[in-house]
Order: sequence, then structure tokens, then C-alpha cells
Amino acid sequence: MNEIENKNPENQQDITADMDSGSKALADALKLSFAVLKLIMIVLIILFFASGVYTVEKNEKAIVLRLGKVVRDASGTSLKEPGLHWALPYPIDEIVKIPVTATQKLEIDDFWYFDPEQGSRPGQTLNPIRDGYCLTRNEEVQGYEDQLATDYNIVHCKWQLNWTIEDDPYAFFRNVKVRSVRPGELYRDVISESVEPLLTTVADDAIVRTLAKYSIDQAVTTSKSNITREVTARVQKRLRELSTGIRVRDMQILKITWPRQVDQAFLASIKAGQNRSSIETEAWTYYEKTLNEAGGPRAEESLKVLLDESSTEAEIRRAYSDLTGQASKNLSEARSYKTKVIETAKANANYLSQLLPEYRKRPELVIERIYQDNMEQILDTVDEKIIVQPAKQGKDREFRVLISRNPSIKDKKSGSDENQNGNQ
Amino acid sequence: MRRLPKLILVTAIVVLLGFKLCSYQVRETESALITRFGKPIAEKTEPGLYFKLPTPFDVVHKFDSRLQVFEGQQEETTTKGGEPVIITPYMIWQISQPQLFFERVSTDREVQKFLLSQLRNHANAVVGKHYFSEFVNTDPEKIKFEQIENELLQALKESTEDEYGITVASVGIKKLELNEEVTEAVFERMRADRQRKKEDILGEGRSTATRIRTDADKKKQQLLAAVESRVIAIKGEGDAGAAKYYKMLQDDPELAMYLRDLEALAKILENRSTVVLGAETDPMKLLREVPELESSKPKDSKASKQDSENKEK
Repeated sequence: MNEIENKNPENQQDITADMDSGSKALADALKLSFAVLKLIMIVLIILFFASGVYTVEKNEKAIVLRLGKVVRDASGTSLKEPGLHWALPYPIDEIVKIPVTATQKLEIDDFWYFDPEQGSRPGQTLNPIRDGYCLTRNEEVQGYEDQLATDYNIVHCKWQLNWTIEDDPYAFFRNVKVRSVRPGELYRDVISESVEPLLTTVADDAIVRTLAKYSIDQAVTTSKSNITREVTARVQKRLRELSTGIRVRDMQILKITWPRQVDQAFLASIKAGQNRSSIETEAWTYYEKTLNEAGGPRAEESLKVLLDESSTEAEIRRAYSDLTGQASKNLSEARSYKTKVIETAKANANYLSQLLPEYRKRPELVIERIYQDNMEQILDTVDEKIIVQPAKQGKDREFRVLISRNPSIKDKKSGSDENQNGNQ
Repeated sequence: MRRLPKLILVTAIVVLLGFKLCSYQVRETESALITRFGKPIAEKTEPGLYFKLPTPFDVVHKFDSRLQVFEGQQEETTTKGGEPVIITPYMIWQISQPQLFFERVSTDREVQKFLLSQLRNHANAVVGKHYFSEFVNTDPEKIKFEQIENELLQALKESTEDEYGITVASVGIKKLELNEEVTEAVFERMRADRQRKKEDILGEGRSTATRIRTDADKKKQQLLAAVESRVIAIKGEGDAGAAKYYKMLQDDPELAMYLRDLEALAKILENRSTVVLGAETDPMKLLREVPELESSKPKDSKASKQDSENKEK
């Protein structure tokens, strides 16, 4: 059957007519398979051209290479915006999709120490092959300038760099080496991996150069944000000079610390800082207490007014009245002295002026009466009174009478008192 | 009639194959060099489609024209002042002239070797021209890192660009370290530094504290002195006020003095005093005898004067 057909393809119809029903069925089947094959071919051709349809995702832009050359539209733009596009099929066009807005993270730990076990004890030295670190300058010390001209400290740090290629994806594509994507890989990851050496190198350089300008204290405490800003600017500048199209979104210092080998010394100096503030706080407490005791909470303001020669009378009065504590005590004592002195003088004067008419009439009697009254009062308040018998016959003898003795004195003297009483 | 599609198909395939054999694409990121029997005949740095003779005659060598990073080896070298220092230089480069590059350094391994030796030689030479204090210095103004990197860039450019077809885009030092012995010395110095700093901090704190305390005491004294002057003024007012009444006492100064003395006596004997009295004094003599009273005859004032001389213990 096959042989017949192959030999005489032009006589097919005549032969078919002569064929038996079995052969005819076979011929029909063959015809059908030809038709199916044709259809498949057509579908394949359609699929071939349809394969040029591609989508650009929201966070991507695409570059089309036609015969290796970047296709640009009329305005000279080489980037295809997100959406559905069509390109000629391989090998004429090649589509490169570039993730532009996604921020990629890169951790830079070239300057961190080698720690095989978490928190293991550090050795005495740093091995430059395993341990990473930066050098920082030392601070200038008064009187030591010459000796410390090349002085420096060691600092460990860990950074993170966040970057995108949204600024200029074409420049990125053109200039930055990205290895080709193998099956099963994501282009995004290939980009990250390929760019890593470049970014790490540029960042390392910037970090080394920047930290050399700062002291270790600035680096670990006060100037972190300045350092970050300076490093970021340096990295960005170099990436721009190289036309990489990479934008550094930001850089962060994840960790920055002094070497573990000198931890004790650093902690001690931090503690000294705390001690200093407690010493100072104590002094301030004393300051406040002293002034408060002397003049109350507003002592300082008042003192300012009192020392200021341009203060007005009203201000000065107000300043004195604001004072409390020792100052106000002194002032109120003075005021009560004043009152008392005046009042006493006044009372005495009044008393005298009332007494005078009577005294002029009977001076002796008035004097005597006042004397008696006063003695009575005085002797009433006296603790111990001793009455002495004047000497007779040339021999001193005492006669004592005890009147209203203070009990606390009695204990001490009672013995001798009794003896002398006995003599009498 | 039936042969036509087949013919077209066969022709198409042949043309395509021929086209494939006789053409090549240069991508935007590449450059290419064509060699005929091993001899370079053309250099293509512009992207696009190009034709050539089939493979046995013409061979296409493609070169990546994008930036590449080459990291040098970590190496100990010495500065001008003789300090040992470990640097890790790097360079960012690209192939700018494929033919030159192909002729001088063709394989990948050779490129690595070539770049390493170039970088090492120039880095060592440049570092050797500078003092360590130009890398790190207490005075940031004296640091010449940038200048050193520029010198290295110039040196590398001169030796690679024209001769090897390589453009050096950037060079630098990505790590600056010390050998192990030096780090130990640095730690020692850092500890000493901290110790000094600690003393400084404490000393500063103490002197500040002293200043604060002194200030407090001074202000207290000033305040109390100001108050004292006010106190004296007030007391003075009191005394002046009292003086007005003293004039009234001048009507009979003797009596006034007598009253004043009594008052003083009372005040002196007020607290815990012991008084020794003669038994003859008034009114103690009443203890011994009943007085002989003579009616309406004033007493002798001498007795009272004697009494006021009573002794206080």
C-alpha cells in the first residue's frame, strides 16, 4: 500500500478507486492525520508569533533588544512601562525585565569580628584574615599632639545597604555586570547576587575612609548619624561616577562597637561618666539645699535682684518678702526686735509718766514698794537662795535656809547642806 | 504544484542555517572580536547584527563590556614611615578595546593573574610613598585617603589602558588593617586611653562639683549678708523708734535708771541662779525677828542700796 502510494503519487485517485474497503479506510485515516499535522503546524506558527507577547509587572520595567541592540521609541526612551507588550520572537528580540522599585537589602559584615561560637572569649589579637575592623582616628589630647600623630583605634561595625535601580535601569543594564539567568532562577536574585561584590566593595571603601575621619567615641555614640550620612553620600557618589544607575535608598549601621578585647576598659570609662553625673547631681542637690535653707525656693532670683544695683526699691522689697528659710527667720527676728524695743520703750515711758506724780509726792515709799515688788518677783524665779548670817565674834558661821529648790540640783548638794544645817 | 511548499520549507531552513552560520549579534552589553584563521580582522563595539564567514574561517570572540569588580589579595606592605599595614585593594574595570585585550590577555585565568599583579604592584608602590599618618590621623585634615586612591588610579590607568585595552573605572582600598602584633599594641594603648579618659571624666566631675558647692556657699553668704544689712536696718529703725520714748524718761532720769536697773536685775537672775542673801536684808530679817514698826515714818533708803549688790552665783 505504502509502496504503491510512494511510487505513483500522481495516480493516487485511480488507485484509490480500485482499492478495497480496508485500504480505503486506511487512506482516509492518513488524510486525516495530514490535516491534523497541518493544523498543529499552523498552531505552532501562531504560538511562535504569540510567544512575543509579554507582560511587564507593576514593579518592573523592560528593555527590548532587537538583534542585540536596545530598541528605543521615538522619544528615545528605551524602557517599556508595565503592561502587555509584543515583541518579535526569539532570536530577533530579547526582553530583559528589570525589577526597579523593589528595595534590595545587602548586609555588609566585612568589618565584624570572627566569632565561631556566639559570645566566645576573644583572643589577645585580631587576625586580619578572619576578623574585620576599621580604624578610627584618636582624639587630640592637649600636650600630646606629636606622639599621637599616628594614633588610632579599632572599631567593629556591621552595615546594611538598601538600594534600588529605579533611577536609571538602562544605565544599570548597560554598565553593571549581571550574570545570565539559569533555568529555575529568578532574575531578581541573579541581580542581587551579581551586584553584591560591586556594592560591597564600594561601601567598604566608603566606610574605611569615613571612619578614619572620626574618633571611636564619635563612632560608637555621638556621630553615628553623621557617619551614616557621609558613607551613604560617598557610596552614592561613586556609584553615580560609575554610571551604575543604582540608587542607595539608605544605609544603616546595624552594629558598631569597640573590640571585645578592650571591653572592660570601655565599660569602666562609661561607668566613670555615670559617676561623674552622680557626683555632679550630688553637688547640685547640695546647691539647692543650701540655697533653700538660706532663702527658700526663690533665693536665687531674690539674690540676683539684691545684687543688681539697678533694682528698684519695690523690686528689692519684693525680693526680701520672697525669701523664706534662714533669711526670713533673721528678718522676722529683726522685725520682732524692732517691735519689742519700741513697745518696751513706750511701755516704760508710759509707766514712768504715770508713776511720776505719785513719786513726787512720796518718793521714799514708792521706791520701797517698787523695790519690794521686784525682789519678790525676782526671788520667786531664782532656783536656789542662800541666806547668810553676818559674822559675829570674829568667826564666820553660816545659817542657811533652803527655799523651793530645783530638784535636779538637790541631788548633788543635799549632803553638804545637811551637814552645815547640823552645825547650826 | 505539490512540491512548492516543500521547496519553500527546505529553502527556508537552508537560508536560516546559513544565516545562523554567517551572522552574529553583538548585544548592547558586549563587544566582539572576529578572527579569521586566528588573526583579528574586525572589532565590534556597537551592538547589532553582523555578518561573517562560517565558523571554520571566522571565529567570533565576545567580551563583556560591563563593569567588573576585581578584589585584590589582602597583603601586608609597609608605609613610608616603615609601619606595617595590611591593605586589600580593589579595582573596577571594563574591557574597552577587545582586540588589544584579546592579544595581551585572552583567557579568564590570565585576566585574573594580570589584574592581581597590576593591582598589587601599584598598591604597594603607592602605599610605600605615604606615611601611615596620611591614612589615619588625629587631625582629620591631614588624612589623604582620597589622594592616595587617586594616585593608585592614575598609576593603574597608565599601565593598563593603552597597553591592555582595559579601562579602570575606579580603584581603592576596601580594607585597611594591621598585623596581629600591632593589634595587641593598639589594644594596650586603647586601654591606657580609656584609663586616662576615665580619670579625666572623674576629675572633671569633681571639679564641677566643687565649683557648684562653692557657688552655693558663696550665694548663701551673699544672701545672708544682704539680709544681715536689712536686719541691722530694721533693728536700727526699732532703736530709733524707741529713742523717741527715751526722751520722756528725761523727766526724772534717776527714777528711770532705778527702774531700768531693777529690770536688768530681774533679767540676770531669771535662769537657774543661786542667790546668797544676808540675813539682815529685807525681807529676810523677818525670819529672825519681828520688826519694830514706827508708824508713819519712812524707812532708810540705805538698806535698799545694799540689797541691790546681791551676789549671783
